[in-house]
Amino acid sequence: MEITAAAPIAERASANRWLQLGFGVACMVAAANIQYAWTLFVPEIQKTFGWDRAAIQVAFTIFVIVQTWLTPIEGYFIDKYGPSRVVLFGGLMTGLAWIINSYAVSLTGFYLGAVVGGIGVGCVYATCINNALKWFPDKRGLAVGLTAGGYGAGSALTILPIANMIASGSYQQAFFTFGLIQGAVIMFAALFLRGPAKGEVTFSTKVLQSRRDYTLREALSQRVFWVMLLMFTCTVTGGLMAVAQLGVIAQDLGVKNFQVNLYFFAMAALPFALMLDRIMNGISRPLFGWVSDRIGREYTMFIAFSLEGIGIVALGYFGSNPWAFVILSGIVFLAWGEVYSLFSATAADTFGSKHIGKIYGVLYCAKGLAALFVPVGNLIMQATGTWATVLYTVAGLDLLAAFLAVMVLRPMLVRHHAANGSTMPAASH
Amino acid sequence: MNIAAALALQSIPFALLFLMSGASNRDIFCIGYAAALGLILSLIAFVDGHPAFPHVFAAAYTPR
Repeated sequence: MEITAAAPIAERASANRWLQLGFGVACMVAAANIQYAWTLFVPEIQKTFGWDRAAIQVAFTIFVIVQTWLTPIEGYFIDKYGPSRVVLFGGLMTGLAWIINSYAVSLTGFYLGAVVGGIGVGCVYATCINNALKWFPDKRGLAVGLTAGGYGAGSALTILPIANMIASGSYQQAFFTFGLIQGAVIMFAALFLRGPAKGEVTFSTKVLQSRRDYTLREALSQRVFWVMLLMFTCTVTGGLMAVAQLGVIAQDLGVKNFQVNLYFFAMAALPFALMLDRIMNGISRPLFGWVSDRIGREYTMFIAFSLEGIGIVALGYFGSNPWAFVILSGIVFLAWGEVYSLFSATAADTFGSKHIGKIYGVLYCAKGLAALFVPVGNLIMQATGTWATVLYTVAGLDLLAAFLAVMVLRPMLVRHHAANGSTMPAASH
Repeated sequence: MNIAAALALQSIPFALLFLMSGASNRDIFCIGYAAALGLILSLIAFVDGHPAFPHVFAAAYTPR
């Protein structure tokens, strides 16, 4: 069994790590539009070429499929070549994707742009998350949460300029200009990215963390890895199923078009709930990440997943009230987004950070697995004739994950770390 | 879809056998296999003949 040298406990953290986090967030912000601004271009593409909207949207599906499933491969390259080269390549591909789109005159062209964009964004996303894990072992949850939050919130900065350029000029010009800008920003920031040297970071004093670096092979041979994969899949599946049914639920409860009046503006309940989705998803990652740095990952998972499960059941019972629908939707989304920060941080705590690119890359496949299970929710609804069954299934998955977090994962991790000789933190969690 | 998915899923036990063996380069195999299997299953699910699948599947991949 390969045993790599354990990293010594650092006496102080380098101030450089906050710069590293800043560059990582900048890369995420620049990459975000590939996903979030796409919706602005679709009507223009449809108007220009007269294609069916569903056919155009296939490009987006291709993008996210590629971005999700190539993560293990990207993780391999991150561990092998370091963050700078991978993000440099990612930035090149991210910029190239929109340049391809600016010249595309066929659906195949847009599909090619989607593949290139998926590779680029995948490289940037995976690397920045990995870098945050390595630089902030004492604040992993918060660092990853901020990085992932940057991806979600980043499009807010450029969505209006893009929309204005589309409206005033041509969508091709918007693709080309912003493709160049975003690619250049990422490639420039990539030049400054690096991993921490030995002794440059400090371990947490509140969370159990491995002082030994596991290889991917070793991680896969640990039962705790598969428990984490199961939990990750359950929670992401649950959240995706809930979102997929939200429109149907709102329709059946009679709140879909109900005007929610906030005095300074009014909006129909369903689009308002979906808007809250984006906000709450962004807040939840750094928030629960920060909480997990203080009370431990497993207890935070228990709180978040329980909140999710109970919130979903409550949504079914009380959602006929428009305000309850909006508030409970917000709670459901708030309790869901943090999965990406909690599981990445837990993986690094458990297996060390040297090979975390590959390890978390394989663990991240839970997102892809979850998406494959989502159509099953539709089948359940068709078979039972009601979305309530789907909601209970979702709640069951979340509550199962909450149970596993404290009753299975926590004891396994305590034994895991004890076997490695990791000392319990002073405030033992 | 069922036949194609079944064929793809049948590869899992064999992949696990290889991962449990003492062969070298298991890390690279694991990474490549996970990516390939995921892409293939996603493709199968997306082009599935069931009318709900492409729409629901695509919706599952909406921004999160």
